[in-house]
Parts: sequence; structure tokens; C-alpha cells
Amino acid sequence: MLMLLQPSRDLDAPRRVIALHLLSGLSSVALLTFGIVQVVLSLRMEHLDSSAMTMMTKGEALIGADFRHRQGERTASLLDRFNAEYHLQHCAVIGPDGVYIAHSTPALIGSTAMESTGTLNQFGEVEKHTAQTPQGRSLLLYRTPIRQGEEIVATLEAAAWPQEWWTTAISAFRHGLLFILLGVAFLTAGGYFLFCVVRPMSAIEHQLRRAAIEELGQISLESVPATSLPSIGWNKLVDEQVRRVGRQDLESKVAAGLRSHREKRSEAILRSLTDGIALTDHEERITFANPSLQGIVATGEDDVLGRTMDEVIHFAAGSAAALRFNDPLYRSQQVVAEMGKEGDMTKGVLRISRVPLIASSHDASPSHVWMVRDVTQQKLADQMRNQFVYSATHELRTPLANIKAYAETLANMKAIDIEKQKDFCNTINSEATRLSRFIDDLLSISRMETGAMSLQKHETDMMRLFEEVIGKVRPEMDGKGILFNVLIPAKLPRLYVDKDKMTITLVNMLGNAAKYTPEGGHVSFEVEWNEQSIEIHVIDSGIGIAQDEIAKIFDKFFRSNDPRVRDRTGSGLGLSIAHEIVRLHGGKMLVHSELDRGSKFTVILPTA
Amino acid sequence: MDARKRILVADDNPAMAKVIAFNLSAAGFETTVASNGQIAWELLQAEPFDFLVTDYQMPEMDGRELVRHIRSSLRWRHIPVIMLTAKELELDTSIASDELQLASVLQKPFSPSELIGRIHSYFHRVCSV
Repeated sequence: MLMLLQPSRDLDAPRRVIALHLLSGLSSVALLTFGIVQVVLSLRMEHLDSSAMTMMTKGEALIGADFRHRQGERTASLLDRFNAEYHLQHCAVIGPDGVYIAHSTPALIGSTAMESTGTLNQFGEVEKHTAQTPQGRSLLLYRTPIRQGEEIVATLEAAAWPQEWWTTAISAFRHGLLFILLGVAFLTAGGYFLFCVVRPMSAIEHQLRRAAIEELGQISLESVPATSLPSIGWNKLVDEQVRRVGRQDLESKVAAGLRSHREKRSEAILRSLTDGIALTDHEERITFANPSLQGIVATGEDDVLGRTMDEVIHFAAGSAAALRFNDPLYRSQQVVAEMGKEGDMTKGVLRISRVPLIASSHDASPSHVWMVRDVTQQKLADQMRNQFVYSATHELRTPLANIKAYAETLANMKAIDIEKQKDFCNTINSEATRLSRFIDDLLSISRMETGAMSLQKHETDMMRLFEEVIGKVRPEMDGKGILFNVLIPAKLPRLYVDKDKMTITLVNMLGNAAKYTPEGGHVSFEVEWNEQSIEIHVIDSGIGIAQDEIAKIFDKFFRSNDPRVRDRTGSGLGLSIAHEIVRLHGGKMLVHSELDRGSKFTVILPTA
Repeated sequence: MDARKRILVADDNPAMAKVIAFNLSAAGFETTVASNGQIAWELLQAEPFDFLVTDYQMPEMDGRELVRHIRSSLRWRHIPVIMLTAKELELDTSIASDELQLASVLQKPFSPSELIGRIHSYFHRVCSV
């Protein structure tokens, strides 16, 4: 009972309520039953006593009359009748000396009357005693005096077995059973309704208990049967909670999605860079490398992840600056160095920079971001530009030196014959022309680079243009003893071209043919045309162009590595300019060449 | 000067070679022209010369290569050489004095009278010694 009232970990409050209800209900039913039995017992007793009184009064009247009037001659038969009528143990008449003078069991006549163990009650003249049989059983003795006049002449005794209390209780219970059962039924029904009411409370309390013990994030609240206002309220709270958690969940999912999108975008950017990017951890192992890095370092192995940059690039093969990457002193500093691909500068040049991600002085081994750029092309361009500056200087100085030398000679010498003077002046003139042409080339290339080269196109008589070109190059051909063939159709279309620039182009092509064709070789200038286009071929039996250099000959500043070209003066600009001029005319320039056999350059211009 | 000094001129630019030769002849030297280093070296094997004027950049064998050959040969180890160059950075001055032992370096464009003057002063110095 006390346990039920105490807060317990095992039994929740609603169950305690039900248990208390049942306990108190059952106690009530028991008490009620006990009460009923008590009432029935006392009523029964009263009933017995009153019927005993009636019995004794009737017996005294019958037997007393016989005793008074006929001196008791019918007493024995009256006693038998009386005994049978009232289901008595015995009935008898006791004389004044306390001895049975008549008895329903005749053997006992003359024996001493049973001894009373106490007077219990007296109703008028009827006394109610208890006595004990020789076998030790209780007996109820009812005794009433038989009077003759005022004098008591005898006593009538009736002995009955006492009614046992449990017999009365069972009988009372039997009669009250229906009501007891009804009480228990109501109790059960009440318990059930109570159970229905408290069951949601029990579920709610269970969840609250979990909330008290466990982490809030791990509990998912559950609805309970909506049987009462509190449970409906609880369900609302649960729904709200579920909605909020769902919203938070959605928000966190969206945030995670955005984050991963951002990360993906960053990674996509890193992947799309042409520079090689790598990340290394504090153990210098590569944790990320973009595809460009794999392409640049060309290790031949698919995956550089997990390896060190030193394993991939071999800094020891590079310059002294590259060795800093392996020097612990530089680990927390930014290091930039250039080195050859696979340690070989002729294979290409890499510019490698390494930036520590956490650049704190006490962090001896931070992670790093590496950037590897293939600067081969840039280096080549620089090299070409430098080479161009050298070439340009040479190209400018040589005619200038000649002009100066000849002019000074003319000025200082006193006696020079007139033929010599003329010769010297011609030389000065041609050197000045060469200088001027080179300056034109420089201007053209400058315009090309800035995209400012424009054409002054006019309707042009192509025959006259070709004749002019041939006139310009023939002296050089003749000077080298080159057999110069010209094959031009008698009738040519008139084209809209920039005459000066087209002349430059063709003179350049024929000039190259003359320059790189040995003495005694041959050069052809051939023209074909149809409705759509005109084709101009310059074919020579010169030194030719190596296959790997053909693709580069139109590049600015490009000069062949062939020593036979290197020995000649030249800027590497002529073909580049010629190619650009043809392109601006809407045409194209083709080249076929075989080393040591000769070259064929073709210009195709649209006639329309 | 008792005998006419023989000067070898090596330059691949015919106009330049021609004007140098003209000026040297006018100054009283006997002049021979070679159009590259290889030809100059061959001429040196065949004929005696007192002085060499050579361009730096030439096909076949350039001026530096030619002077190296000269300095390593017993016969021409001591011949005085003037180097002509069109490129400033081509010739390191230390190489010019130590390795090639050049009498002088002339930057193009140069004045022919200066060339003649340097040759004269060299011979005068030698004579006075």
C-alpha cells in the first residue's frame, strides 16, 4: 500500500492510480460483504430467538396444561411431537430436584439435568443457556418454568443445536452474491474506464521518463490515443515537434547540399585549371591532384595520390632553387623554383610554387598547396624574343655599318676614281634599302601583333604586279647563278588586292627561294587560275625544311635550327608577315617541303 | 715600314669586306679577303700574314673559332687580331683579352679610319719596342 503511494521507478502514476482504485474498490466490496453478513447474522439470531420464544410458550402451554390437569400422563407423547416439530436435539421436563422427570430420550429420565455453562439471555420467562454434550458439542438450552398457580412445579427444557455463524454467513453470501458480483463488475468497469483514461498518460509519462534519462536528439516523440484533452494536447505538441524537426532536418539537408555544391564547384574549378594543382598533407603525401598536374608531370602512373611531390618531380634533378623544396628550413615559407621536366630543360620547363597552408612559425610541417605550371612555351617565346632582339640588332647594324664605312671612305679618300665612287654610292643605296625594308618588316610585325594591319585593296592588274616582283628578285637569282623559270598564263584576272603588301609577300617567298637555294640551283614561279581562285607557286631546289619545323615556319620570330639557315641573316619575320597578308586577303598559304630536295610554297587567293 | 704588311680580312658580308680591303690598300697594306672563317684558316695555312681583321659572326667557322685555332697553332700563336662585331653582348671582354688575346675589338658600325689607326698604332708599338 505504501509502495503504491511512493513514487516508483517501476510503476508509473496512472498504473498506480488504477491499482489504488482496484484496491480501495475491492476493500469496499469486502467490507460491504462483511457488513451484509453481520446484518444477516444478527437478524437471523433475532428471528431464531423470537421463534424459540414462540416455541417455548407453545410448549409450556401444551405440556404445562397436561402437567397441571392430567398429572403428566400425555407428557411423553407431547414431548415426542414437540421434538419432531421443532427439529430439537432433545426436549425434557426437569423436576424441582433438578432431575429429568420426562425426556424425549426415555433412557435419560431420572438423570440429572444438563448443566448450564452460563445464562445468556432471558426473554420474559424463557431462559437461553449454553451447555455441552458429553461429546463436547455445544448445545443451546431453552428453559421455561411450568407453574401451578404461582408455584413453579417443573421446568420445560428444549435443546437445539446452535446454528454455526459460517452457515449463516454462507447463506447470507449466497443471497448477497448477485450484488457482490454486481459490485465487482462495476468496479472492473470503472477500472477499465480508468485504464482507458490513464493509458495515454502512461505513454506520455513513459516518453517524459525517457526524456529525463536519454539525449534529447535521440528521442522521437510518439502520438498517443486521443482519448482525452491532455492526450490531444500532447499529440499537438508531438506534431509540432515532428514538423520542426522535419524542417530542421530539411534545412540541414539543404545546407549540406549547398555546401557540397560549393565544394563540388571549387573542385570543378581546380580541375579545370590548366595549371597543375596539388595539395599535400603534413607528411608531404599528395591528397589532391587535378588532371592538369598528372598531364604536366607525366609520371606514366595513373595515380599520384599518396606519393610525395619529390617522388613525382625529383627535385634533386633540378636546380639549386628546386632543392629548397626538400629543405626543412623552407617548409613554412613560400618557395618558387623553375626546373626542367624530368630534370631536363630541353624536355620543357616547369615553374613550381609551394605555399604552406598554415604558415605559423612553430608549425614545422604544415600542409601545402602546390602549383605546377608548364612554362615551356613561355620560355620558348622569351627565347625567341631574345633571339629576335639579337637578330634585329644584327640586321640593323650590318647595313648601317656598311653605309657608315662606305660614306666615310668616300668622304675621306682624296683620289677615288669615278667608277669606284659610283660603285660605293650604289652599295650605300642598296644597304639603305635593306635597312628600310627591315624597318618596314618591324612595323608590319608590330601592326600584326596589335591587330592593326589593314589592307588598301584596289583593282589590280596581276600581270603588272608579277612583273614588278620578278624584276625585284631577278638580280639576286642571277647573282647566284640560279635558273629562274617563270610560267604565267597570258590572260590573268584582275583582283582586288593590296598591291604593295602582295608584292612584299611574293618578294619574300621568292627571296627565301633565292636565299636558301645553292648556286646553280633552280627556282620556278608558276601561276594558275580558274573561276574561283588563283594559285601562285614558288618552287625551289633549295635546302628544304625539316618535317618537324614545317608547322612552325609561319610563327613569328621562328628561325630554323638548320646551320645553313642560321648562317644567313634573317629576322624570322618574313614568312610570318607574308602568311598574315595572305590570310587578310581571304586566301591561304600552303607549304610542301623535303629536306635537301627543295620546297614548294603556294598562295591561293579567291578571284571573287 | 720596310716591307708592305700583309693583312687578312675575314668577313662574310662582301660589301663590308670590300670596303675594308679598299681602305687597307689605300693605307698601304697588302690585303687578302676571305668570306668565312674556314677559308681564312685555309689561307693562313698557305700564306704568311702580319695581321688579321675578322668579323665575329660568319658561316662555316665564326671569328671566335678561327682565333681559337690560331692561338692553338704554333705558327700563328702571336699574330695580332682585330675582331669586328655587330652584337654588343656577343663577346665577353674577358674572353676577348684572356682566351683570344685580341689586339682590339671594334663595334659595328665603325669608322674605317679608326680601324686603320688601330692597325698603324699596333705596328708602331711593335716597331718602337
